[in-house]
Amino acid sequence: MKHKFQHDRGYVLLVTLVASGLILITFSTLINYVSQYAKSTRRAVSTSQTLALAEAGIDKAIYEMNASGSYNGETNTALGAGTFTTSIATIDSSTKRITSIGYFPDNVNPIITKEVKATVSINSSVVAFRFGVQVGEGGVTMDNGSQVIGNLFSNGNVSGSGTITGDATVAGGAQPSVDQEWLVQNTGFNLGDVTARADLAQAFVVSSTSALNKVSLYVKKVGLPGDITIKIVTDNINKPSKTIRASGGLLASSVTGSYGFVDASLSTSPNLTTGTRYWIIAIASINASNYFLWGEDNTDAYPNGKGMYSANWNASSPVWTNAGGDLDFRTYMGGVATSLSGITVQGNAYANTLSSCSVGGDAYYQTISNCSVGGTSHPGSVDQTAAPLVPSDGQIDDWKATAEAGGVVGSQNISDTTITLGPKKITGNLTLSNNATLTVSGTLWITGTLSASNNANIRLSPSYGSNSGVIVVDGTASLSNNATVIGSGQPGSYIMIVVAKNDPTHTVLEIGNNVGGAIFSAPHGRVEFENNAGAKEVTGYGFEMENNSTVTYESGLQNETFSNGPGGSWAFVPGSYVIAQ
Amino acid sequence: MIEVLTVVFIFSLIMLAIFTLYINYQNLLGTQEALIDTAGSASASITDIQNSVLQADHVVASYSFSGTDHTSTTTSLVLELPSRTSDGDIVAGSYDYIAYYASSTTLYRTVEAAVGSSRQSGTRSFSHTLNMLAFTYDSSSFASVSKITVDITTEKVVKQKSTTAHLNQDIYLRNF
Repeated sequence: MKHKFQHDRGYVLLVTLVASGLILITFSTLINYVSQYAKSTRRAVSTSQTLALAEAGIDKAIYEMNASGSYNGETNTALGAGTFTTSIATIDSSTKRITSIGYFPDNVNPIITKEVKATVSINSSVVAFRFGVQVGEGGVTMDNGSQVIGNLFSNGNVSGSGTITGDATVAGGAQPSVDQEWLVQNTGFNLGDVTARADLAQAFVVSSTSALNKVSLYVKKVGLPGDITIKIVTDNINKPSKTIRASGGLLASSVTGSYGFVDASLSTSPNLTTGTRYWIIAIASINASNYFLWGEDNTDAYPNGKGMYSANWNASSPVWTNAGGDLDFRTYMGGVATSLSGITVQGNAYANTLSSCSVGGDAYYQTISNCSVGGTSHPGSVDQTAAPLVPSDGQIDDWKATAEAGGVVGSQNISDTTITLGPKKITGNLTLSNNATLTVSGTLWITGTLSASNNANIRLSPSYGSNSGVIVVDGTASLSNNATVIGSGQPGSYIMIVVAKNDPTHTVLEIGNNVGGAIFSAPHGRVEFENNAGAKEVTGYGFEMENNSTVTYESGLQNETFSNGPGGSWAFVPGSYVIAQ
Repeated sequence: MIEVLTVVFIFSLIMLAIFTLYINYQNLLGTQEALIDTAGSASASITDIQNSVLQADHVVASYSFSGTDHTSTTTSLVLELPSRTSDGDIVAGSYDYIAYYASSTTLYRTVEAAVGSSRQSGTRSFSHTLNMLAFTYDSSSFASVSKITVDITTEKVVKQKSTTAHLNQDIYLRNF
C-alpha cells in the first residue's frame, strides 16, 4: 500500500502547475491587451505633444528672429516631454523658411518625430510717396531760395517765390455746385452784332448765401468774334446796376457754332446773399459778321429773373430793354478755386489759376495771369483731382500698435550718450540733445513731443537692412541745430517721422537749420522748414518752406517699405504651413 | 472509493473554475479588443483630420472629386490645402482637396491632389466603428471658417455590451 501511494505522488503538483499555467497565460494575455491599449493611448498623446513641440519651435523661432537679426535656429531645446530643433533657410531678404522638428522623448532615441515647416516674412507696410512734396488743403508757401527738387502735389494753394524743378500740381478745390440754371432754349438772342445789343444780361436769385465761383452761358458763335467780358452786378430796380461784384471772361475759342454751355472764369468769387437778385452781364465787341447768340427761352418761364439788353451797361444812365424771355445760364456756388502763384516751375504746371509764375514746361489751367509759359498753354483744362495724403491714419494706427506691442516706457531725456530703443511706446516726451545718439531698433510711438537738437543723432538699426523705420509722434516734433536723422546705412533706408497731431492751423513739425535726410509727415498739421533744412520727402496738411530750405526727392520712394518691428517684424505667412513628417 | 470521489470532486471544481475563468476571460478579452479598436480608430481618425485641417487654408462648400461631389456639412468636411512637395515645400498657386465623410460605421478620406503635389490621390477608410461624426464651424460662411470642432464617437458592441470612445477637438486652420 505504501508502495502504491509512492507511485501516485506528484499529481497535485501537476494539477497545480497546469492550473497556474492557464492562469498565467490568461493574465499575461490580459496584461498584454491592457498594455497595448495604454501604449496606443500614450502614443496618441505623445504624437500630439510632439506636433505641439514642433509648432512651438516655429513660434520660438519667430520670436527670436524679431528679437535678434542673427538668429539662425537652435538644436535640441528641451521643452515639456521632448525636445525640438529648428533651422532657418533664407529665401530672400524679406522671406525665410523655418523647419522645426519635434522629438519625443528626445532626439537621440526618439519614439515619435514630427516635422513642420512654415514661411515667415517681414511684416512691413508700403507707403507710396510719389512726390517730393505732397500737401493737403493747407497749401504750400515757398520763400526765396527754397527748392523742391522733384515734383510737388498740393490740394491747396501754392504761393511764394521758390522753385520746383519737376512738375507742380495744384488740385482743384472743392468743386462748386450748380445753384441756379435755366435750360429751356427755343430761340437765341444776338450779342454783339449791332450796337444796341452790345450787352446782354440775365437776372438770377441765389438759393443760399455763398461764394459764386463760376457762371456758364449757353451760347454759340457766328464768324470769329472776340472774347466775351463777364460782369456780375447787383440789381437796380429790376435792371442791372453798375455795382460790380465780380468780373471775368468767356473765351471765344471755347464757343462753337452750335449751342453749348461754356464756362466763364471769374477773377474773384463774390459772396452772394440768398434772396437777392443779381445779374450776369455779357459784353461783346460789335461786329455784324462776328457775333454770338445766347440761347433763350421766349416763354420767360424762369421765375427768378429775365433777360435784358443794352448798348452800354456802363453808360451814365444805361438803357436796358427786355430781351423777351430768359437767357440760358448756370451759376455755381461754393467750392474753392485753387492757385499757384509766384513760383518758378521748371516742369509742367497744373492749377485752376496760375498767376505771377514762370512755367518751363506746359501750363494747364482755367485762369492765367502774369505767367510765362515755356511750353504749351492749355486753357480750360479740367482741375486735377485732390489726392489723399500718405501715410493713411490706418497705417499710423498699425505702427502705433506695433510700437506698443514692444512695451511701454516713460519719458526719455537723452543727453550726450547713446541708447537703443524700440519697438516701444513712450508715454511722454523724447528729448535728445548735445550729441546724444538714439538707435531706433523698432517702431517708436511718442505720446508727447519729440525734440532733437545740438548735433543729436537719430539712426536706424543696421538690422533694418534696406527697409525704413517709423517714429510716430502724437504731440509736436522739433529738430534743430544740426540734428541728423539717418537710415540703416543701406540705400533706400530712411527714418520717417510722422506727427499725428490734428492741428491744421499750427506748425506741428518744425525742421530747423541743417537738419535733413529723413522723410517727414504731418497729415493733419503744418510742417515748417527753416533755413537750410532739408528732407527726402515731405507730406503735410500744410507746408511752409523758409529761405533756402530744400526737399530732394529720391526716386524709389514711391514704394517705400516701412518695417513694423526690429529689423522688420517677421510674421507667419498664411498658406505656408506644412506638416512634412 | 472515497478517494476517487474526492479527486473527481476536486477536479470538477477546478474545471468549473477554469471554465468560468475562460468565459470571463473571453468577455474581458472582447472588451479589451473593443476598447483598443474604438479608442484606436477614434484617435487615428481625429489625428488624420487634425493633420489635414492644420494644413488647410479654407473649408470649401463643395468640391467634385473625380466626378463625385462632396459638400461641407455638419457630418462631412471638404478642405482646400496648398499643395506640397515631398520636401515639404509649398507649390505656389496649386491646391489639393480632401474630403472626410461617413458611410454607415466607416469614416472615409478622399484626396484629390494637384499635379506636382506629393499627396496621394485616392480614398481610404479609417474607422469601421464610427457611431457619430460631427463638424462645427466658427463661421456660417465656409470661406471664413478658421476653426473646426471635430466630435467623433466610435462604438463596438461585444456580447450585448457596448464599448465607446468619444473624442472632441478644436482645430485651427493654420494656413487660413
